[in-house]
Amino acid sequence: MDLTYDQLAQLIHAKAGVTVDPERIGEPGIGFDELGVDSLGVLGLIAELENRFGLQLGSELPRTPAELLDNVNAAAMKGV
Amino acid sequence: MTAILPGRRAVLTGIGVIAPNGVGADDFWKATREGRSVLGPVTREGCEQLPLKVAGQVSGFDAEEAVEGRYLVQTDRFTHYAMAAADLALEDARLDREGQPPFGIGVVTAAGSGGGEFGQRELQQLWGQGPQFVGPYQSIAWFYAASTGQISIRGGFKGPCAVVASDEAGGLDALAHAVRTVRRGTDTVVVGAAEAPLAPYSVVCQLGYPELSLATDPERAYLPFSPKASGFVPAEGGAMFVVEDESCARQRGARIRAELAGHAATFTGPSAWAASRAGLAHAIRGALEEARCAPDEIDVVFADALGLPEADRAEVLALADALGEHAEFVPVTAPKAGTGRAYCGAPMIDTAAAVLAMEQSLIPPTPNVTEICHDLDLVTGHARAAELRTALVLSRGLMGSNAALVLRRPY
Repeated sequence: MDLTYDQLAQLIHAKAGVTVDPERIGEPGIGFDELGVDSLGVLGLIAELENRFGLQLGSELPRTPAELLDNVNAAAMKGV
Repeated sequence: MTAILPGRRAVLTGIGVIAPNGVGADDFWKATREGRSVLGPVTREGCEQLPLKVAGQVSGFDAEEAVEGRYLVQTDRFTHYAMAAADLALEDARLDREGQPPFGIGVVTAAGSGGGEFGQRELQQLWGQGPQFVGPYQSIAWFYAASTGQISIRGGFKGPCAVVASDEAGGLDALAHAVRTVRRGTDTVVVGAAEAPLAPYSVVCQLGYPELSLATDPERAYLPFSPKASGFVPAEGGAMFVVEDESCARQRGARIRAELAGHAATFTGPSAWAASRAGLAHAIRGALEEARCAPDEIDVVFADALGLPEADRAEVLALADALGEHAEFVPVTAPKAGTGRAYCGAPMIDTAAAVLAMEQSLIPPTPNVTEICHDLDLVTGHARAAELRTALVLSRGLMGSNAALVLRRPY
C-alpha cells in the first residue's frame, strides 16, 4: 500500500478542514503544526488510516507527515 | 479574583446579528421594524417527521462564506453562527485588532445546549461503527464552551474568557459577566450567544418541554400575551457584541451605541412559571438599582414573552410589581414572536433590537399577535415611534433562570 502526498492532502482536508499543498507535505522536516493541523487533526488522520486500511499505527503521535507516512508504510509491511 | 476598578464603565460598541429574520444588523432591523414573521416549517434533514412543525430557522447564512474550512469541519453550526456574529460585531465596532494588546480582548458566550448536530453525527458513528470511528473534534465541538474557545483562538483574543451556562437567561448573564470583566480591567470583551437547536437529536431533546408549541400553523404557533397562547417556538441564531471600557472606546473614537447600565438574575425553579413572577420582579429591581434608574425612566420593555398563559401572566405581574404604576404605561414588545426563541441567543437578539430601537426612536412590533388578554401596552401591528432613552430586556429560561438588563442610550 502506498500513501501519496496527494492522498494525504485530501485526508487532511476532509478530516481537519485544512487545505494544504501536497508539495508542502513533502518538504523535508515540515511539521503538522506548520501545516496548520493540530494534534486532534493528526489523531483524526491516524484513526481514518487505521479504519480504512486495517492498520495499527501505535499510540505515538507523529510530528511530521513524513513520520506518519513512515508509520503507515511500516505498519503496512508488517501486515503483509 | 481581581478587584473592581473604580470609574470603569462598560459600553456597547459593536453589534453582530445572525437571526432567523436577518443576517447582519441592517437586515435584521429592517425585518424586525416591519414586524415580519419568519416562522416556518422545520426543513433540516431528519427533522421532517418529528412532531415539532414550526421553528425559526436562519436562512441566508452561508457557513462556507463566513468561516474558514477548518472551522466548518472542526466545529458545530452553533459555533459557526457565533464566529460569524463576532466578526460582524468586531467589524461594526471598527476595532483595529492589530493595535490591541493580546491580553486586552476577552471572550464570553452563553450556551444552552452546545453542538447538538455535530454530537449527533459522531454518536451515530459510535453506535453505528464503533468508538474508533468517532472523530477527535467531537471532544470540543459539542461542548458548551466551544464558541468561546474557537472565537478566542481564531481572533487571537487572549484576555479573560468565560462561558455562562445558566439557561436561556444566560445570554443576559454573559453580558453582565462581560461588564464585570471590563470593570476588572480588561478593555474589550467580545460577548454574546448563538444557538443551533434545530437538528434531529436537539429537537427530540426539546420535545419533552411542556412549553414547546407543536402547532402547525406558523401564524398561530407562538402568540405571547394573547388568549391563544399555546407555547413557544424554538429558533436558532443569536447575536454577539463588542463591549468596551467607556474611556477606551472614547479614546479611539468608537461609536458608543449603548451603556450596559444594570443587570440582575434570579432562579425560581424549572417550569415554575407562577413563581417566576417574584424572581423576575426581583431581577428587574436589581437591574434598576444597579443602573440607578427609577421605574418610570424605563421607556420600553423587551419582554421574555414565553407564550404560555401562566408564564405570560407571571411576567405581566412581575412588571407591575417592579415598575408600579409605570407598568400600565410603558410600551412592551416581543419581536421574538416573529422569529422564535433561540434559547440563550434570544435575549441577545432582543438586546440588539433594543439598542437599534433606541437609536432609531422606534419600537418594533410583536408579530402575529393581534389580541391581548393581559393588562399591558403591547406594541402590535406596526412599529411605534417613541423617544427611547432607557430599555429593559427580560429573559427567563425553562429551567428557572430569570434575568433583567437595563440599557441606556449614550449621552
